[in-house]
Amino acid sequence: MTQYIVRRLLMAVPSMLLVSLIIFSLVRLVDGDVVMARLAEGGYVTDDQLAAMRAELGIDRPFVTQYLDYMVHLMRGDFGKSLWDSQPVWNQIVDHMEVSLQLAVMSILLAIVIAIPLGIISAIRANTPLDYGARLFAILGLSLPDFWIATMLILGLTLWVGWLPEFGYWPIWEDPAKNLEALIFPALIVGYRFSATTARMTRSSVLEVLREDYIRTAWSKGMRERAVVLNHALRNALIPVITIMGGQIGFLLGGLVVIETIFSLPGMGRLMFNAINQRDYPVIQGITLVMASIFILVNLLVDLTYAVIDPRIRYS
Amino acid sequence: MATQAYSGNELTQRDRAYRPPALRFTIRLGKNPVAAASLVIIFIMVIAALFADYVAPYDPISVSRDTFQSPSLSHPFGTDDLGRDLFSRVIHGARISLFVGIVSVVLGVAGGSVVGLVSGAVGGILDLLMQRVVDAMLAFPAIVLTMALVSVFGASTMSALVAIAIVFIPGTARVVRSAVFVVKANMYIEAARSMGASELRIMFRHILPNVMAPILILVSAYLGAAILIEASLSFLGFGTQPPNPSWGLMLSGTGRRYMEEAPWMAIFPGLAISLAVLAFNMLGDVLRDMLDPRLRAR
Amino acid sequence: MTTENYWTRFQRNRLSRRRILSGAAWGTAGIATAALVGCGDDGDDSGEPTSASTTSTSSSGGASPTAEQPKGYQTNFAEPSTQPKAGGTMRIANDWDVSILDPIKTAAGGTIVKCNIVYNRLISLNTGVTAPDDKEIKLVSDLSGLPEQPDGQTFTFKINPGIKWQNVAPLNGRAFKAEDVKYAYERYATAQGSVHTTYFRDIDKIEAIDDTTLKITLKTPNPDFLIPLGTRYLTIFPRELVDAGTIETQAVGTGSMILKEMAKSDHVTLAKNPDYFKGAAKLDGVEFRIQPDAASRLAAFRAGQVDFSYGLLGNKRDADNLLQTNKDVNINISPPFAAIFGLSLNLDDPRFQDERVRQALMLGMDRETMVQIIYDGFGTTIPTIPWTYIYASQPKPEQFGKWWKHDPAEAKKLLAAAGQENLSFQVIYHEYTASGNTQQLEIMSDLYKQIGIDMKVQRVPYTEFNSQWIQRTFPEATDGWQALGFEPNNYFYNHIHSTSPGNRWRIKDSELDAWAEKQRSELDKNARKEIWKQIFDKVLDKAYRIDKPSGTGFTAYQPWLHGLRFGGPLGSNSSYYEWGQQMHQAWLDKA
Repeated sequence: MTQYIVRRLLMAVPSMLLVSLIIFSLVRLVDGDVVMARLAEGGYVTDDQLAAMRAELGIDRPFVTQYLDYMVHLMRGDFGKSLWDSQPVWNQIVDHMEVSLQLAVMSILLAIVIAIPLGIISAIRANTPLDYGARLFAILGLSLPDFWIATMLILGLTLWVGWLPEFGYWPIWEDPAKNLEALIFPALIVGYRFSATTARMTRSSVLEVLREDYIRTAWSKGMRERAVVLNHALRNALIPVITIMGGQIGFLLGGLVVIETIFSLPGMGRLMFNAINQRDYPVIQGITLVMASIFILVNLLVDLTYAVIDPRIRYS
Repeated sequence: MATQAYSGNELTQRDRAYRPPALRFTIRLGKNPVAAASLVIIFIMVIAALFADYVAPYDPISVSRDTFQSPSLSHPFGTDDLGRDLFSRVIHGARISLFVGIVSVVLGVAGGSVVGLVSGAVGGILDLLMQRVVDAMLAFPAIVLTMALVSVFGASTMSALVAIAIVFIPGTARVVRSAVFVVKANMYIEAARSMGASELRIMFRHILPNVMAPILILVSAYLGAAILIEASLSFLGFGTQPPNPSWGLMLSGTGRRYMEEAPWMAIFPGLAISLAVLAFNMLGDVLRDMLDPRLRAR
Repeated sequence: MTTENYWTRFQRNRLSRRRILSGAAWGTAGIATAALVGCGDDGDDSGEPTSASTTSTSSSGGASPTAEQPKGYQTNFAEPSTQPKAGGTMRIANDWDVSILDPIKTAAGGTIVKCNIVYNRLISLNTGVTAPDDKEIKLVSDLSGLPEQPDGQTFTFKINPGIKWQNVAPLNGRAFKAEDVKYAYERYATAQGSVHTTYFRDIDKIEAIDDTTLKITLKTPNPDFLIPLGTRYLTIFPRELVDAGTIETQAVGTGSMILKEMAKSDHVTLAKNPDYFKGAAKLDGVEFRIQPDAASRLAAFRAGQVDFSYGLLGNKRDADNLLQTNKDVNINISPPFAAIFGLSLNLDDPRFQDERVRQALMLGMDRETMVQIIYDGFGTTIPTIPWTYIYASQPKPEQFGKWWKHDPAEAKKLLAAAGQENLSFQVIYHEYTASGNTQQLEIMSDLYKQIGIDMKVQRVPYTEFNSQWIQRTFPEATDGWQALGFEPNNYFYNHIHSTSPGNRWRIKDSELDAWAEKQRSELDKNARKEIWKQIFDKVLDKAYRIDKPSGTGFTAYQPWLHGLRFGGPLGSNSSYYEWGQQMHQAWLDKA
């Protein structure tokens, strides 16, 4: 087991290096830099002034120098400072991760609460109106753009309910009520979207399990056995569900820029979106590396939980 | 050897029906009511997209002073903030949205399949190296990749298309690679090799047809996703350029802004997106049921 | 309301809006000082320009015989006669994150308007609840009174009494001195990385005679020297922050509010400075909420979550719509005096060096239709240079030269003569307003198609756009903003002189260069005005800029928000979100 984990982590090293190299070059290919972002709307600047500002930030140095410098600092755990507002990158990531983490957890919980019962019902009552209804509900969640669901929700609340959750973010330990009020609708939207994929996956894996011969026999025997079967089916069904969640964790933690924008949540998605628009290289690089590490670790964890769920699975 | 057009699996089935599998498959698909409905929706949209210039009653970018007209006989979907006919814009929008969806998925899945196929079939060091690249791509936050790529190439329909395609590559590669491993374990591959078939021939003649099922399922699932990603990119200002009508742009731009005063500006493009995504997803569901061997009724 | 469907409600709204507006019943009617602003013609009998009267009498106004003119929006509205209430935190929804705070390095609007609540300037421009009607820029006292200027070359400022830095480390409430101004100005003028050095190029020396007297001597007389000192860019910051190396992330000033907290992509909070020298603010504090999505800002404003919001109303339609649900909201309008955005061509491109091509682009634009479609008639078509420098009231279109009309046939002839019948080019732009830039360009590309021009549109993100616009690297054409200037040199030198970095259009015209230099040192007001008129007319005649129509600005305030006003003429302080100069007067009337 330990050996397996170590091997997986070692294999991640070249991937992470590749990620760092890609993001480092990609951001520098984009037209414009942070100096322009900071000056936009400003007075008149000569080319000399622009060059001086770039020199001060060190973004005029050769690519290789910048990359090596960055990696050396990174090895010491230093993510650098934002070019946009001079704040340490690591602090910004931690601050924004708080919202994203809470939103991700709430969305996953909501998705599980919606998706797993839906998927099981769908499978047990396969090809009945109940199944079709459940599948349509799930599939609808996949077919509406999230900004569209969010906008309709906000407009509906404004016009028909006359009430709107307050936009913004309040940490849960400071003001739990306001925190939940601000996060519940985004979590519902993301959770619904997420539950669509999960419900379909649950349905097909439960179906698959139900088709095993010994299960069929047990199923036909009576209520007690049915409970056993469901328990068994659920255990098996969890594996693909967890796999999907592992694959989606990156999206949940960093890809919710649209929802975060509409609900004014200071999450990772917006930090990234702004950093790209501001050409804030250290922030973009920092987020990308942190997100990639999280992705790799979570997927390792996912693989390890397989063994917990299904003792037959062993790692070599 | 030359008569070996189909791989082992198919050969046994050929005794039952003398129809090429593609045709047989389509007929089976058409008998499923959900799949049939999806196919009809997709067919109508593709026709609208192909013949938009003839189907649309107005020039989709021609402005007029008849702004914010609610739906009527002369403007079935109403007009927008610049007096353009929304019906015509939605029809022309099909061209852009479907084009982005289909081409990006074809490119992404084809690219990913080649990577997965080569990686899985060749194995060894090459597989190890390619998988590290795929790992890196998977770990790379998709949103960063799309936004950065679109920024580099300049926001346009084509950039969005390429960016979406790249996002689909690593996932496809993973799925195809593991499918290849399953197929490779089969006896007929060993048989083909012992009969002197080249590796390339084995890869494309024997392995590829047998991993088509997961690829098809991926295609239908990705198609809906691609249309939604294009819409999200438009919301962020990274997608299709005005005055060109893409569904995502219509919905996220003025459609969203005037939703209260002129809801038709959002309803019709929104409906078009939902129908298209719904159709692709439902088709995908049916395909999965029919193609996934583990789910196939015995 | 809920039983109706959208369509019937929409139809009814269209009718009732007129009724509501023509009644002019709500809120703001009957203010003697407010001017009624004409809204352009409803019908097609164009020619009559949209006129705006900003004098205190509304005699000439925009009165037109057409009965269906929607009225009711005014440049100002009355303040309540009751005593201002103290207390409360004002919540402001805005879209931009704060950048580095060092005033010498920052020009980004989203940052400086917040810094400027913390800092003051030496002198300032007239702002506040009475200012929006001012057509001309007026200098007023701030940290010092207006200076003595015996010869137009030396200026002696007297620092106002009782000014202290905020009681925050490392300043801890120490007294404000003339020496502080000298330090700040010298850093603006010479420090590495300063983006404001040009303002100070004429200065010979700055002396702090004593704690309350500051003397500035120029190398040569400059009629406009004082104006930049009053603008939002040149606030006075303390030496202590520079010495401590925290000036980029910390702001401690003399202003009415103390900076408390900045949370990226979330909020910026400020709290009242009890020792403010103009009297402590009535508000306890201010909270800026970063809300990037315009639709969400509108929803939050409607629900009363915020007291003010940036970028709420793009045109009259938006204003009408807001009043449907929030009847008590106060709205004031600001008629533009100059075109802010214009089709800006790369004049180094040989095709655009042919003046016939540029003139054809002018003639191909149907400004009247654009104003009707986008702004419901509530817009105007005027050139980039503010006409206020030359004319007393808004000129008729004929006064903008022979290309200022829609004449597709003539445009085609000009294109043919220039051999550019199939002209094709790309415009890059950024969507600054709710959707105004996009709407204008969409209409233009349709209009230009009719004269055989293929104009492609490319929307780019903020930084990419500004990078190409500021550095003048856009390939063919762009929807460029003009830098709003406070001094005439901005328009009559910086924008047009071939060597000026502000000449983003890359105009190279030796005659204009000569005039630009001549007017800069012309001390006689009338003679200077003459030169300005020559420049104004020639820029239009050569069609160096393809000016687009501009919409009237609409600003909304919650009914309980008082003591604040934005939306004065372009280039004045209040046309931008200038909180700093008014914040101590703002108050909330809430239960």
